[in-house]
Amino acid sequence: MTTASLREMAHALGLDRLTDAHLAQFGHALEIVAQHVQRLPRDLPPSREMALIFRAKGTAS
Amino acid sequence: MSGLGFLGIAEAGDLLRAKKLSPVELTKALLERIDRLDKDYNAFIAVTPEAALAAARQAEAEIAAGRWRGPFHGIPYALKDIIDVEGLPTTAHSKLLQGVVAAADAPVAARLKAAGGILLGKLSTHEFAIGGPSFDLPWPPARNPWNRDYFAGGSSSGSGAGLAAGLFPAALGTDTGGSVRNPASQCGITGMKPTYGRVSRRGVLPLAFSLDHVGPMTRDVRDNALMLQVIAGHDPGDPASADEPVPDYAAALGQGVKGLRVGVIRQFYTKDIAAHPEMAAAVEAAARFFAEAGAETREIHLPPLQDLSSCGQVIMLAEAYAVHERWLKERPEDYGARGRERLLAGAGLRAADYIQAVRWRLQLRDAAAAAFRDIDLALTVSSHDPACRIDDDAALATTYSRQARMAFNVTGQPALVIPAGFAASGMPLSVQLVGRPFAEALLYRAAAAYEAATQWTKRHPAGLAG
Repeated sequence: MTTASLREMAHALGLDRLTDAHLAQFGHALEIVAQHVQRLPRDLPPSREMALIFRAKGTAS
Repeated sequence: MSGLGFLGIAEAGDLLRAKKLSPVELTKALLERIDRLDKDYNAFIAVTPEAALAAARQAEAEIAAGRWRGPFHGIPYALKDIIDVEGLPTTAHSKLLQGVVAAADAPVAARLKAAGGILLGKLSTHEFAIGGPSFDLPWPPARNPWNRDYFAGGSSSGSGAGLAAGLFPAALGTDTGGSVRNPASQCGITGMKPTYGRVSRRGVLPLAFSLDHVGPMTRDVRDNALMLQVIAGHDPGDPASADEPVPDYAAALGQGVKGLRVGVIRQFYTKDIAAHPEMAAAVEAAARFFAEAGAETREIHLPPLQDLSSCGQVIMLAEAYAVHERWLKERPEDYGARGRERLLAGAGLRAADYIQAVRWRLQLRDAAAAAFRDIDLALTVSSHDPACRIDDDAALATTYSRQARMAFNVTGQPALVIPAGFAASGMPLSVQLVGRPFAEALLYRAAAAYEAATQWTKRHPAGLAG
């Protein structure tokens, strides 16, 4: 990605204070995270739940 | 009394209880070592000598009066500086939090205090437990006592360095993707990531809520069990805290491994990611030890290490970005370069990516549970490589990928790293033992048998004895 396109993406995310050096880091970070995202399965069955730890308070015990 | 630098919790505790050693004498000796040695290792961000000596005097008076609180009474320790202690700054090794003072003790800090421990100070970390080692922060990075030109591991780097240097016998670290176990591996000490929910995370600056663990770091197995005993237990104020009974973690030490079923996760260091030959050889030697000591060993298979790592990385980066989003928008220049880059990665994730990862997590957890169904514990690699030079950027970049630790943050299982010899470079080797949820005591039992046979924990860096 070019610095301009990274700046545009950063702006859309509200990251307006990133310098050119920060944008270069952002670009590198996006490359790394894309490698991880690529490994995510896209064929999990609809019934496969999320791993959540939230527990509602005040329910009957 | 000389040689106090490498006195462990158990040994010191016996001497303190028998009044053959005074908490004040021990604390003064360690403060002197910190003053003399830590300029070379940067384990501490802040030392608290006045408070430490006051606590030591109180412990001395209580023990003299027959009010012994337990094995941690009068034991000096230190905390990774993302753990709150009332009245002290929690800096996270970052300019962003410099001078921000904690209003209350984290429950883990309160438990150590209530057990009679003597807090010596707060320890170096990678910035916000993710960005390091860094030379562009208000404090320098910790260095490895086995060779100060080498990386101490991270992110609980001060905890690992200070233990290996004989600055204290006990420390707490935190572990979101391996941050207790990496410095344990690289510094040749013992580090436990307990089961998710076993130890309260409240009052500990979060990196990624669903992967964060607090764990004990010590030089040997018995000490680690004693420290976990103090900090384990239910905390109703931590939504992830488990309301499970806390067993006696030291009870089975000395029982050996005869009859235990030990799975060897060989794929993690051969097929998935080939480990450094000396590290792989250390794991194989440990497998031979368990077999010769009467355990039944067999190879087991888990999902590919890269799958476990990528699942964990997506979850960690998304949750960490949620914590840091405001600061990254308002004060990006106040982060160090490594921390900023790692945290910005989360901005590139979509909601669907995160949700797929947390759904995948259950599938991976179930696969790991199935693999552990017919074994008692597993043996594998922790770090794929011995420590690299602290100025070797290319080698440092691989430390996030060439490891088998994040896998067990994803599954939530307990995982213990222990020393396993030394590489030709002189840097420590290590192995990792992994158990079923809440089976920490069994890991300690197996690790103690290996430790007693190998004696690796008896070695200390040259020039630091005493």
